[in-house]
Amino acid sequence: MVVGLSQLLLISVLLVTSLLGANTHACEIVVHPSVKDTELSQQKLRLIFSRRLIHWSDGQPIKVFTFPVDSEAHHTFCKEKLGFLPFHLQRNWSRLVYSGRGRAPVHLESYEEMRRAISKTEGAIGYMPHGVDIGKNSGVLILE
Amino acid sequence: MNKSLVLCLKVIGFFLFVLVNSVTKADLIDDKPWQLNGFASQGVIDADSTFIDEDKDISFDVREIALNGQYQALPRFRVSSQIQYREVGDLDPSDGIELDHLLADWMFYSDGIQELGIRLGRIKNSVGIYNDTRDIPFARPSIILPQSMYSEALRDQYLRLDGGELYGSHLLGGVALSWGLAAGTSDYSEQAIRNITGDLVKGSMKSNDHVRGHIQLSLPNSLDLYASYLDYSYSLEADLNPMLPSRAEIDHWVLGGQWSIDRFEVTAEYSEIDLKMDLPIGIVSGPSVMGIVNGDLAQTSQSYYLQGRYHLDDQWAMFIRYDMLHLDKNDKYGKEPIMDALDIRSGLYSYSKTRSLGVSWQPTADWLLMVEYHYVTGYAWVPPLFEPNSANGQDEDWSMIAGQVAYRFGL
Repeated sequence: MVVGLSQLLLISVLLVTSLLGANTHACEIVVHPSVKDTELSQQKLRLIFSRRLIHWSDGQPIKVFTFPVDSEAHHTFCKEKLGFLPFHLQRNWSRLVYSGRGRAPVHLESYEEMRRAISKTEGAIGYMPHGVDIGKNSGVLILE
Repeated sequence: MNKSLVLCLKVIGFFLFVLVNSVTKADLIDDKPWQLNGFASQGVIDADSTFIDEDKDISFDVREIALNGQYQALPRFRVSSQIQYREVGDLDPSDGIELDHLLADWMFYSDGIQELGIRLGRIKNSVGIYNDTRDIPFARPSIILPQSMYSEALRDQYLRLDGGELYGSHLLGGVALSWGLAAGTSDYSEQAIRNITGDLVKGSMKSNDHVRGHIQLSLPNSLDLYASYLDYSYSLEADLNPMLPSRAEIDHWVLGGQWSIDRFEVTAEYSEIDLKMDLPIGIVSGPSVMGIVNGDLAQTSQSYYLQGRYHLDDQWAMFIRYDMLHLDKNDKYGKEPIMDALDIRSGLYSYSKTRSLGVSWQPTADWLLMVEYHYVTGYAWVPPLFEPNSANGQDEDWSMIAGQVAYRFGL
């Protein structure tokens, strides 16, 4: 009976943990500490990453960094944070660049490059898969 | 000539500057002020009409090469330019390298919610959803866009203008609004007049004025709504009768929407074009019409299409489309001749109904392959628009197959 209760408790704990795990974000938005706009709606993120909104509220230019368009990290970010598939973003960039109306974001290859780029570039925004250790005092602000 | 040469040298200088900086600073991962992007494509189109080839042969002369450079000189000031080489069978025989756009962009106001700016130079025209990137394989849904709306024959008239544009964007709650107001003149190639009049009028085509406005509303549920208005006029100066130039005035508006639901995307646009034209006396000497003309032409064309696109995964996508054009919305199937003096543009040559489907494959981010099929009834968008090509005969239906491979670097 005692064994049965402890097994039940263990199962309950595992179940709760896995449920919590399911709610955890797979991806997080990261910005340079100079960025004051920390409340970013999905629509605003779409505009920022589509390069249609290019200045923060204090007037400093938004510098956008992403992982390669065919990477898993980019795919997860598009689905979770923007609510659409990578091809939408890529098509918007092509439209902007080849019509002369805007600039493309910078593509980075590794998590370390992303951390460095965000930490040293004022006004920078990017994203990072959840759980990647970017270190304390990294100069990168993670937005909840 | 000297002016063109100086402009050409400046553009080449700009690209060299961007290229040198892109290469020498490649080790920096910072957001560089310079960017260089480009693409090249090669296609093949086989149509059993004179749309792409006057002898109805298969055409391999379908290629686009473009080099795009940008320089962010100051946080709010940017220069962008693109040079390109384009060839599309007999529709657009190459004129060599053309200057696609060259503009200076100054965003003079921004507060994170609203942005206002001005662009000066050669500017692409935002008309409908696809016009400003109609030449970019990676930004369009098919090799051949819906011709009712994005006519290859009229490409020069819509594509760009030399002048200025005031633009803005505003975030209103969850809705993003973008707009632009532009004015200037257009630069027409020699082919522009051939696509309209064929052998009917030999001469040149000169842009008088060109005004354009567009607005885009992006709603939170992935619905984008578009409205565009274009008002322009041009003169046709016939070689045979230079003292009597004709003038055309065009009012053109487009409404459209694009809705994305996960892997599925629905696009629809509706457009009307008011055309007023006075033709000079005595210019007619084509193979299908002979006579003296002193005619005014006034008509409103109507076009619309509905397109569905489905992304099977990150590499494969397919589209299906229904596209309709009536040159005269008051006489949709050309029962009456549109000009008293000439019995042209009637019947089969007054409308086009196109059913299209195609598939695209993007094995990597840089490579794109597309194959598509179009089944067409009527010849309204087959140039020359004013003088039906008798080689097309009276067959109601015709079809077209197209394939294209494209590569890009940068973006």
